[in-house]
Amino acid sequence: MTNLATESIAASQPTMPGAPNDWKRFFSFSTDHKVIGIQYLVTSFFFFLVGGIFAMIIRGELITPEADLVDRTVYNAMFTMHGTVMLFLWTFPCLLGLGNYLVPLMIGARDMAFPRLNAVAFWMVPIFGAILMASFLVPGGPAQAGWWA
Amino acid sequence: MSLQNPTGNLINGQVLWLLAVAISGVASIMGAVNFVTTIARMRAPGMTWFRMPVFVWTVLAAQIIQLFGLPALTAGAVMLLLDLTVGTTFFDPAKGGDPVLFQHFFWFYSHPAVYVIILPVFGIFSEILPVYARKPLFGYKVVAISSLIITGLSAIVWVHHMFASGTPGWMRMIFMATTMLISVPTGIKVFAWVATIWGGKLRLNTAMLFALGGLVMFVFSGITGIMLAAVPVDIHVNNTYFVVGHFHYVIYGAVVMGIYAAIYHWFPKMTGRLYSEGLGKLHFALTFIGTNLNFFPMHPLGLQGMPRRVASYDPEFTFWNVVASLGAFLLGMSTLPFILNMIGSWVQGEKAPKNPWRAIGLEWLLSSPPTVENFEELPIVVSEPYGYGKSDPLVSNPDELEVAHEPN
Repeated sequence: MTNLATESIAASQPTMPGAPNDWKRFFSFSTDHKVIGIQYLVTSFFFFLVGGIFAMIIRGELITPEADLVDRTVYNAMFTMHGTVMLFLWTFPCLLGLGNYLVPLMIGARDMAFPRLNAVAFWMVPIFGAILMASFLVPGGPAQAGWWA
Repeated sequence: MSLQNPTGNLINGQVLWLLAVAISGVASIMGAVNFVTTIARMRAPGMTWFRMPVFVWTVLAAQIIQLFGLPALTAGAVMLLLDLTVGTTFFDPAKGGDPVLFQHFFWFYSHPAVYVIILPVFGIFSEILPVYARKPLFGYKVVAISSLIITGLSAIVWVHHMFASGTPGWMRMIFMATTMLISVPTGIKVFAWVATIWGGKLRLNTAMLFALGGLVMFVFSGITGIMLAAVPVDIHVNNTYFVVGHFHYVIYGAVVMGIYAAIYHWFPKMTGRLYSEGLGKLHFALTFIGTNLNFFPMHPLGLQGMPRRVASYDPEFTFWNVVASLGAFLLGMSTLPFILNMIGSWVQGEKAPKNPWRAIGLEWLLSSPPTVENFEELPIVVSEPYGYGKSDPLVSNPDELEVAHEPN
């Protein structure tokens, strides 16, 4: 019944269901809107968990009136990164994933209008996610200014 | 806004933050161009504008916002990046710049951005409620058009984030009025959803529970939203936890619950497997209780004057903060049954048929998951969406959409 496929820019070879390289298409530069949709959903859910850990640290700090769990600069970094990750790396990409998967199916199209642009737009998400996470490694730590940049 | 650079390094957290936001802006503009073009040009024969499911309408409305809004945010981020790295002074008042300008750039996009997030969730509610109530969506055309009205109004509300930024009184009045106007198209939608489920025979599976839960939370957050739109209330609770509570009711209560509803509803289509209802309902119960425990206390805290963005607070605020923190930890745990369910069901769930929910829609005419390129022959659409309780076929060629397969 399922007729999954290994995708690359150049070739689209149908394989049998359950073939060992099935899952690999989710790690490839696929132009299939359904693969990209699931790539968005899984990537964004990973960042949802990251943003959730930041939220746990914020609420852990606020369970007592004193600032005793983390340093105040760390606290500022936590709420800044919590907001940024949850919006730019969870809700936006997650809804783009649902839209990517569903819109072509719902309107009766075979794919998005620009499949490669679609794939490039997706792969920029883990790239800017990595840039944002890299700010934990630089001197001074991540941004601390909330939405005031 | 802060132009501080405590480390003196060129590469610091703030610069990386701005870089990430700018790249995110570019990526999202690319996505928006793709969606708008796809919806305008790639519809199947017979799929007229008013036969499109509401989810497609809402994605269109949301992506149009991205097209006009994101350039402002991206430009603001790049200008601030230049201020911080090469010494321009767009936002530095000491050298003739204006920090309020950054707020304009930021909020001109970032208020519409919440409609970019919530609009597809409105679409999700509009798709899911009719399926499990077995009734057509009430007022389809009005619901579809109201999405575009929200798009239009979203462009003229951003200054309500800046009532306390030295905004002149006449401008506050205008933006208070436009902000309150948003409640008209959203109220129409809420009315339509309630009318849709009214008197229906509801099937309360996990997807429907999340949709109904999200709808209830959205109404609550909508009420606090109207309160915040009023200038006197906004000035009073500005920068307090009341704002945080309102925002998280929208984002967790409505958006995340709506996203969960969509993931459960389309999980069989995406993976070809059925999810576990037991784990799903546990996930819903933990999420619903956790969301309210976590975010409700923020409203009384804000009204009592607890400021946001602080790591320590007056001991009189302790009670509600303890409740909120316990709710947050519950919410953190609520993701565990979800993760277990998704991975477990994807690996070894029961095989899903084409249309496990007896839903009406092109995606449900295809195998689960659909093959590459979806349709062997393009569907010829012959009727309106949401034909529940009617016998009209959706397409005239249902048997030609896929290549014939051997039985599974």
